[in-house]
Amino acid sequence: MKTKILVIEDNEQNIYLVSFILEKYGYQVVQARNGAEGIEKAQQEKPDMVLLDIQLPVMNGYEVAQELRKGKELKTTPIIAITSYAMPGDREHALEAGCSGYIEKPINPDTFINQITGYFDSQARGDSTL
Amino acid sequence: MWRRIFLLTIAILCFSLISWTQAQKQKIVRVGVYENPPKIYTDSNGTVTGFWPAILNDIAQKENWQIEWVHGTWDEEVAYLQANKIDIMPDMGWTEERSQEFTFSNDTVLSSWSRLYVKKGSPIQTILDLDGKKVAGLSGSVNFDGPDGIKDLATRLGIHCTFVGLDSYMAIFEALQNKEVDAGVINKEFGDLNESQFSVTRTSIIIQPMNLRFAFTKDGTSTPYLVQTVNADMQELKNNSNSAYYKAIDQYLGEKPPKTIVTIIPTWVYILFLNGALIILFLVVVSITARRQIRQQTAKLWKSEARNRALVENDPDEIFRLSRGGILLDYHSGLASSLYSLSEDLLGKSLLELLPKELAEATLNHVEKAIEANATQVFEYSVPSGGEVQDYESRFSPNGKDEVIVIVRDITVRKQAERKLVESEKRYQTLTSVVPVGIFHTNKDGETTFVNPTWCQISGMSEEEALGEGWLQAVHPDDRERLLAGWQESTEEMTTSTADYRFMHPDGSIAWVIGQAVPEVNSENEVVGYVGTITDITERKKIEDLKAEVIRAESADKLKSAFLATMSHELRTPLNSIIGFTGLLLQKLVGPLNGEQEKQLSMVQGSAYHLLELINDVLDISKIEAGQIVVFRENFDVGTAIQKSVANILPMAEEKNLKVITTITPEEIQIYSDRRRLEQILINLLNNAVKFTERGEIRLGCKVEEDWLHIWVSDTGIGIKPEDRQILFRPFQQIDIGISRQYEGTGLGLSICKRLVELLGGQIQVESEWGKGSTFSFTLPMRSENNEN
Repeated sequence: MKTKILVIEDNEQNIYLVSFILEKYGYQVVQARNGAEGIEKAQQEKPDMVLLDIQLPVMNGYEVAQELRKGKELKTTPIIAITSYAMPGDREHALEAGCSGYIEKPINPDTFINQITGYFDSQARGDSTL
Repeated sequence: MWRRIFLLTIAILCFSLISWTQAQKQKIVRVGVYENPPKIYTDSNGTVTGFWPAILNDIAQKENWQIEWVHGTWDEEVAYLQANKIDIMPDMGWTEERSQEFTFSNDTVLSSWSRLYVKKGSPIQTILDLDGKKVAGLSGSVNFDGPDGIKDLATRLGIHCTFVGLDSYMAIFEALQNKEVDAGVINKEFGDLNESQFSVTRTSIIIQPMNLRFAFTKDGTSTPYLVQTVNADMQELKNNSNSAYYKAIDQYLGEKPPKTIVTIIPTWVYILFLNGALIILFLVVVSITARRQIRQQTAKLWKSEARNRALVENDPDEIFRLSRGGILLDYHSGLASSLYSLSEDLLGKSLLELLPKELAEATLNHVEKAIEANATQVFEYSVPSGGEVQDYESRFSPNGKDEVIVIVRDITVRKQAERKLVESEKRYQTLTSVVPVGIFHTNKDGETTFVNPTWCQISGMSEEEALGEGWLQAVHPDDRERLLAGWQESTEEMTTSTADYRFMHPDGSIAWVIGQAVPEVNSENEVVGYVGTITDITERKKIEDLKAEVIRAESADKLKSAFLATMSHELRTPLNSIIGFTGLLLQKLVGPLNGEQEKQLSMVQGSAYHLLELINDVLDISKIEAGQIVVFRENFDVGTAIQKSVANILPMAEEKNLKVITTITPEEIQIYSDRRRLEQILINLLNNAVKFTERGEIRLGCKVEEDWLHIWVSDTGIGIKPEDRQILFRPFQQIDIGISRQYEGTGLGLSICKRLVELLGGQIQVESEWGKGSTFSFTLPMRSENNEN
């Protein structure tokens, strides 16, 4: 059974890029292009990880993270925030919203996979932050 | 005074009454006068006199007439009467003919006839004897020329005479005496009176009996009144045997010598008499009134006396009379005990006997003073009694030169109140001088009457300057109008006025105050002044201003922040694709790449990274300049951060065959700081080291000294010229080292480093030798002020 990763991202190129890498490395990718869709798909698909873009339209990433955490399905699922660290306190904000970790944009294609697998390990170990 | 006025009025009335009556009823009557003594003639003094005038004068006096005698001859008088130039003509004989022409009085006043006189020794005895003789007569007279006169008779009797008309009877007598004529016709009255003076003989021949009466103008305006009056008066005169009529007959027509009794009483006598009577009446009235006044006054005095007695006896003070020598003449007291505490039994005794020496002497002193000054003297005495003080006020009023009335009043209560007031005032004064609030008083027109020291301090104006309208000058010019307007309004409504305004000190500095003024109102609800406070709120205002500024700054910051966030996001997004996809391609995840493709893709990715670097730098410096950087402090291991940073530039260094040597002692250093920023700094310095070193090595070291972390990065690169070191840390300054710019970079790196180091609380510096290499070192505090490591 392939590991299922839910990617919530509104930028077409970004979502294509992330999906390409993940799939290349053998993950199953579920796409959502906005927060509402993301939450819906999360409930439906029950992914093993959520990659969440913070800069989303309508419902921002933090809110989505909070919503996802409310649902019983994703209590322990790693939610990784992908953020461009625009505002001071973005990191903290992400963590407070319920994200397990964060990756900085633009993503480094060389290290990306390593970064996220790290979270699986930490999940296994019981850590929620890196 | 009223009495006098009353009596004077009476006198005036009386006198005026008299003169009024006199003036009112005096009537002017014109009476004809011709020369016919003794009946009517003008005497040597010019007075009209004779039988007729006597009667007329009597009537005139009775009737209050003023007679105007009009002189003339008989003929003239007749003409006057006809023409109403005279009102009355006396001595006119009534004839039938004449009664048509004139109005006559009713009764005969005088009967008369004419006689013939002859010269002495003349044989003429009867009228017939006149034939052929010369006869004289009064021209125009009725006894000569008139009907039944001598001429008429002679004609009727057939006697032929020569008639000679003369002017007067006197002339006729003279003519007879001179034997110029034989006979003369003389009226009886003249004849009786004058015949004895001439040598003439009276014959028994009489002619023309006459009824002589008063004649009036037939249709004269006064005639009816005059006729009626004369008739009535004549009646009276005739009825009274002692009247002027009979007297006149005796005097002028009789043979007796005229009496010298003045029968006419002049008017002025009557006036005098009347006035005298009035004066007597007047005096009687006065005396009666005066007597009544006196009675009234006496009654009043008695009442007043009784009242005063009652007053004195009900007065609660001590009242007594003292003689100049100090003898008690009178005493009354409504108090049980007082200053003097004498009694009525002690009257007649001297004060020196009755009182303690001091009090007696003092009292006598005052008595003297009062009498000498002839004015009331007031003194206050304080008498200690049983721990308290009793205060008395004594008034010494001189009553003439020999005695003084003394009134003593217990004013203890008043004095106590006074003392309390003084105390209260003092307390208030003390309070106002120390209270840290400015206090001011104004009168009802808003003019300052008092300011306390604190007020002066706050306003920067002295008390003298502030009085009156002066205080306004201390108020900031922009605030004066507003302040006064507000005060005015509150005044009208008699409410407290509150305002905040500024004082401008002489040196230009501003003090913000809150001022309050409360109107002081008297018992009639009128504003008599204002009392108010000013509180210095300059500090508060400053804080408020600062707060406002902060808010402004914060909103400006928010804008900047939003801008930077947007820029950050927008700029990075496309790079995501560039870096990402080139990465995928280069990882050959999308398929194999030939050498050239790989080379070119590498260049694209390289550029993309470079671009990212630029963007990051620009955003960083923007944030730093905008103060938007937030330091995130955490506990972390320095060594790990160093290693991470080194790992970052290692590929680049290896490519240039540069060795990177890291020395971390001790191996574990826990620091409380911003890890990310530290890494950023290190990466920056290392990047520079690699960039500017062609061969050799890069060394990185650190140590801990007291509470400071020291880190340095040395290289064996080109170094920095001394003069360039000044501009090294400035943004956008790249040292010009040649013709072309060999070294890429934004020029921001070092300035960002400097700012970040400083942000973290440390300092950065550089040592370098041109051509040999450089060492960049910086320090960081191990922990922040409020941190437990």
